Amino acid sequence: MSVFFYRDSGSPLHGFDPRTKIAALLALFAAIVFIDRTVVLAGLLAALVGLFTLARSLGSLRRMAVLFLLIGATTFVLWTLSYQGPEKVRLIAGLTVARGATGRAALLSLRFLDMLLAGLLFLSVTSLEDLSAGLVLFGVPYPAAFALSLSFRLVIVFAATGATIVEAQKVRGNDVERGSLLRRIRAYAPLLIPLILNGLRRVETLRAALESKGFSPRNRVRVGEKFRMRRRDWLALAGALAFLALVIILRAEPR
Amino acid sequence: MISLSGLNFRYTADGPPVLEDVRLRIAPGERVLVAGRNGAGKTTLSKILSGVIPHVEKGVVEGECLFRGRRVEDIPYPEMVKDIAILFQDFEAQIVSTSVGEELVFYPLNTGVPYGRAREEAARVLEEFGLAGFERRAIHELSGGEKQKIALLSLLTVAPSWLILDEPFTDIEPASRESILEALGRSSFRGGVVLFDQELAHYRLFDRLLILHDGRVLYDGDPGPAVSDKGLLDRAGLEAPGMLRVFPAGTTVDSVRAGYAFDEKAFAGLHRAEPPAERLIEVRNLSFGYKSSAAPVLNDISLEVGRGDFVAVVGPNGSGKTTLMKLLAGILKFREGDILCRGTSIRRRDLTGIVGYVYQNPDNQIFAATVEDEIAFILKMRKADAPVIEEKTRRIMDLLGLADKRGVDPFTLSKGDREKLACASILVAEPEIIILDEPTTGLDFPSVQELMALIERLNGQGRTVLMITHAMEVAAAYGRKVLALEGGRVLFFGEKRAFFADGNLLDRARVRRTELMDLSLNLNGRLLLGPDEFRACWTKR
Repeated sequence: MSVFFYRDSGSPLHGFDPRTKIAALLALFAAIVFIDRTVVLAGLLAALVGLFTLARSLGSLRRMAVLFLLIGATTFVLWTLSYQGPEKVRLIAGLTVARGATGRAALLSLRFLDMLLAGLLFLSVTSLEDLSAGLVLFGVPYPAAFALSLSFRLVIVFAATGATIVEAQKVRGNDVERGSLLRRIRAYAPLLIPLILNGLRRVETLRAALESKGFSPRNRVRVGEKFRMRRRDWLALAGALAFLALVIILRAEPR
Repeated sequence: MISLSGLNFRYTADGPPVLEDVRLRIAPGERVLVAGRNGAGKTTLSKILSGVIPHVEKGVVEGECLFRGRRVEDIPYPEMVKDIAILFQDFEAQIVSTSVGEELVFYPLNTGVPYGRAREEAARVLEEFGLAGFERRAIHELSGGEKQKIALLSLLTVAPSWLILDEPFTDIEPASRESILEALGRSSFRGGVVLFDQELAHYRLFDRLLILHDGRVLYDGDPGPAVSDKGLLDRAGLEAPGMLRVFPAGTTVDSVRAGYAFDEKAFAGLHRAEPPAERLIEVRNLSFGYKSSAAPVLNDISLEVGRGDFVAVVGPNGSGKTTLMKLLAGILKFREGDILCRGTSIRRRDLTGIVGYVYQNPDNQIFAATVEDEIAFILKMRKADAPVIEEKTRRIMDLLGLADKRGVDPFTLSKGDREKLACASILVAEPEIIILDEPTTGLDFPSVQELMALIERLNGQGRTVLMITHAMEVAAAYGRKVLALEGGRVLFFGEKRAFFADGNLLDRARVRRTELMDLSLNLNGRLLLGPDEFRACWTKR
């Protein structure tokens, strides 16, 4: 089982140069921060769902849908309750909130969801190695970029190991999903030991494993020829930057 | 040339010697098989030959280790890795990428090869080893055997002069092992191979055999004389290959035909049909796929396992063996089809206490502070009485040769002992259904015999055993039935004799007959499965 979202479906979005994807993601994040109209954020949310379809990555979205909805609902409630304003209105029986609280909460929740969806879309169409290569091409030192992708890879390995350890303990009658909270906490202790020891052992062998395959922090790995900025990359990049510029201009205009 | 002279090694200054007075010279292009049982010093020697020791791992090295006439410690390690590639026993630790294509270019990219050429090398290697089209496969979707193949092939992308392989076939199906070695000979790889293993099955494909025992070189020379020297093999804890397991050294096929008589009555007795057993597990139209993968792993599986059956589960890497066993154990949940245990769907039945599942990697199971606590854990979870726990724990430790290690920290045990401990910690509860995922992987011959004797004894007491295995000697020697999977479907399920008699089935299951089976067919066309059957059917005139 994978805990990550990338699947090489060969969609048009997968085919973009990683530099395009990274730059477009950053531009999109910036635009989301600047947008202050709920309807635009809602429209962007719908557009992002459309992009998931285009990327043939709706599976990633489905996996995260419940969590995202929970996050959206929780942030909406928290912002509604914490919004301060001079005038109070009654929301439901016995509960009063500041006027405009629900509108503001909807805007902030949508902003948060837009960012989550944009990030998820990026991870769904960009492999860890392409992310690392993209960072190298942007001038990030190779060891730092490789460490980032390796840490993601190790999370996958640890998650898979953790799942196996839980299974192995369950088979021996130690079911961590049953009983009181105290019992569950106690049941987790035997899981942590093999997981930590596995992790330590892996870290111990990691250096030998990497160096045996020539890895060195001083390496200058040549990934440049793997990627080429094509016309569609420039167009996508121009589109993303134009969108950001438009959002900033509209935000700056007096209302 | 790699040359070791008077080499002694220990991991710490006050630790026990791991290698003693090792002297050897390995010529370019030479193919050397280094054999020895658990703890013989194979892994340490592999690391010394490849320069991992002393460049990455430290220890106390005495004597001289030269590579191309230069002292290994004087050669920068990045320079060495362009010439000597090593596959670790823990091959998964060496996989650092998320897809096959990326994994194959990692090594050349890090040795200064431009991306385009690295891609070409990766494609060439996959093509030469019959795995073209694997580039886009995600690593997490590969079976253990497929990962081991990819880890091995990734070494060839830098065209090293030496390939050091530490037990490279533990997870790979039998038919692929020999074909990988043969493909190495046919491929563009022209370097030397030093392969470390616990068995001698492929000795014919090597120029030279080196036997290690307790850190010393017991034999170094032509494989032929050594594999027929029973005394030497017994001393080293190695299983004699082929004919030597049943006939004295020097015996030929002709001399068996002339000097031995074949007992047809005894042979007919081997075919005695077992009475049908009471149905215990029933699988009905079971299909299954993982959420992360589009392709289903199992397709429309239907089968019945009787109480007291002993089934060897075989099939190519990625055929769905482990997935099916985890479904039977109730570890994975299914949607399509059904599994019944004693007539009730396991969707509605808790299998805790009924099924014992031994994982392939013992380190995912082990957690306790001592061997004794580890074994007793399952009984304590079931709230067994203290005297019962003590008695059962002691008995299984005695049976598996772990009694003298009862107070030892399990993580300090050798891989073989950890494997035995993982089995013991499940088998001690004497579950009605025992499922084992490649329990003999990493075990030397004597340990395999101890473990299998215990499993056979439990089976004799009426326990049902399902055992995934790539070791055909084990599948042939133990149990009655074979379940062969291919591409997530049942290829064969029935008496093992019928399975091993059908060459077409064996090819599809990526399985090979053992040398003894081939010998029996060669002698008179009658298939015999193991040494016991040989002794029963071929008697001296």
